[in-house]
This record gives sequence, C-alpha cells and structure tokens, in this order.
Amino acid sequence: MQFDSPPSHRVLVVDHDRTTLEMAQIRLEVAGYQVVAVRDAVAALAALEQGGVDAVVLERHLSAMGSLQVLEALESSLPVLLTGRGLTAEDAEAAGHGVCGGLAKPYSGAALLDAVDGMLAHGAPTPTAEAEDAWLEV
Amino acid sequence: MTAPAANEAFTPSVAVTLDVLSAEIELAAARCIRLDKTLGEFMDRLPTAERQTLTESLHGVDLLAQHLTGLASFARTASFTAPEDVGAPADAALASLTLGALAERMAEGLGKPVAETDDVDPGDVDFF
Repeated sequence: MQFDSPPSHRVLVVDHDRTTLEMAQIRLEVAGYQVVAVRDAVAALAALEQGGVDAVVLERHLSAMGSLQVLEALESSLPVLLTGRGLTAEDAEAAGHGVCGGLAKPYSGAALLDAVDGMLAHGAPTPTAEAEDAWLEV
Repeated sequence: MTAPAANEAFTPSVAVTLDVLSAEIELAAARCIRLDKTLGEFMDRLPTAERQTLTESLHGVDLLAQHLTGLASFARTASFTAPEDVGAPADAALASLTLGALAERMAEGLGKPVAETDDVDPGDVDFF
C-alpha cells in the first residue's frame, strides 16, 4: 500500500457521528494531513478562531448550534466540503458560503481523500470513478 | 417526539442499519490502513534479514484492509437501494456486540435513545 507524502494542510472535520469522525481523521492523517476533529459547531468555531485551517469537512446536520452558523462564521473564506445522509447536489449548492462540493453519507475514506485533495488543489473536489457515487458537484 | 416504551422493539430502517454497518467497517479499514503504515515505517528500521517476516505480515494487513474496504463498499451500495420504510429489529444484534465502544457507537448511529443503551453490557476488559 502506498502512502502519500505530507500535504501539510490542516483540515477541520466536523461531525457528530463518532465513527465517521474517527474514520475521516485516520484516513486524512495517514495521507499526511493535519486534522482537527470536533463533534459540534461550538468546538468547530473555537478551532476556526485559533486559525491555521485550510479546509473544512462539515456535516450539515449538527445538533445545537448547527452547521449554518459555522458556514456563516467562515464567510466563504475557506473551501468547505458538506457531508450528510441523503445529501444532494442541490443541497450542497444551496448552502453557499464557500461550499464547493458534497459527500453523501455513508462515504468511503477513498472518496473523502479524493474530495479533500481536489478541494485543496483546485478549489473544488475532483472525484475518481470510485468516489463518483458519493460525490456531489456544486 | 415521544420516547418509545421500554418494551417496544427498536427497529431502525434497513437502510440506516446498512449505513451504520458500512461506516463501522470503513472505520475498521481505516484502522487497518494506519496499522499498515505504522508497520511499514517500523520495517525501515529492521535489519534486512528480519524484514522478510514483516513483509509477509504487511501483505496480510494490506489484504485485510482491501477486504474490509470491499465489505464497506458492499454495505454502502446496498444501503443506497434499501427501503427506508422497512425496519428490522436491532436490539438482539446490538446486545450481541461484546465490545462496549462499538455497541455504543452503533446504537447511537442507529438512533437508539441514549437511556436504553444503558442496558448494553460494555463487554470491555478491565485491567485495573
């Protein structure tokens, strides 16, 4: 198995689901990303305030203060990949606020890596054939 | 929303059950991939004569990661076509999980009310 050299980007992953959060963190870290993994919007806003984040992977249905508040705080300053069960391209497009793509849950680690790699390289995810089923273009 | 009665069977939809199963298998695959990387880094520090044994183990870990990724893909694809309005009782399946953390995550993912998960035997080994 091949592992990439460190991309040296920091990615904030926000997801209330512990399984998805840990999977995303491991896959991104093994690929060389620095990862800040949090479970709610309050922690996400705190992480953003500290700075140094290059991209955000955001679950659209966060409890309490939701994903919309995180998106509004970002003010389109960072590329955002929206995730969620049943997420459609229309949902991702309607979100605005720097959202440049979406991943419908459940997604694979490979699809996540393709999307984040593409988002950071080109400003929008560029999925492989393997990731196409889950990836939603805005 | 009212909480279900204590004796009411917990029946998440088949689609959600497959979603949760898929996510757990994907997590197992991710852990396997991380192990693969760690072993690979460790191998670089071994004398050449001892690398052969570890190389064989690495191959096994790689195959396991692919196996798990394939299973996750199967469950994920099945979930996209599974009916949302057909439920399957999940209490017995959750109770069969002997790893507490796994049982808690899956119960949460399936949407089981938190209070009811207190009955799940954690099954973890206490070393201290």
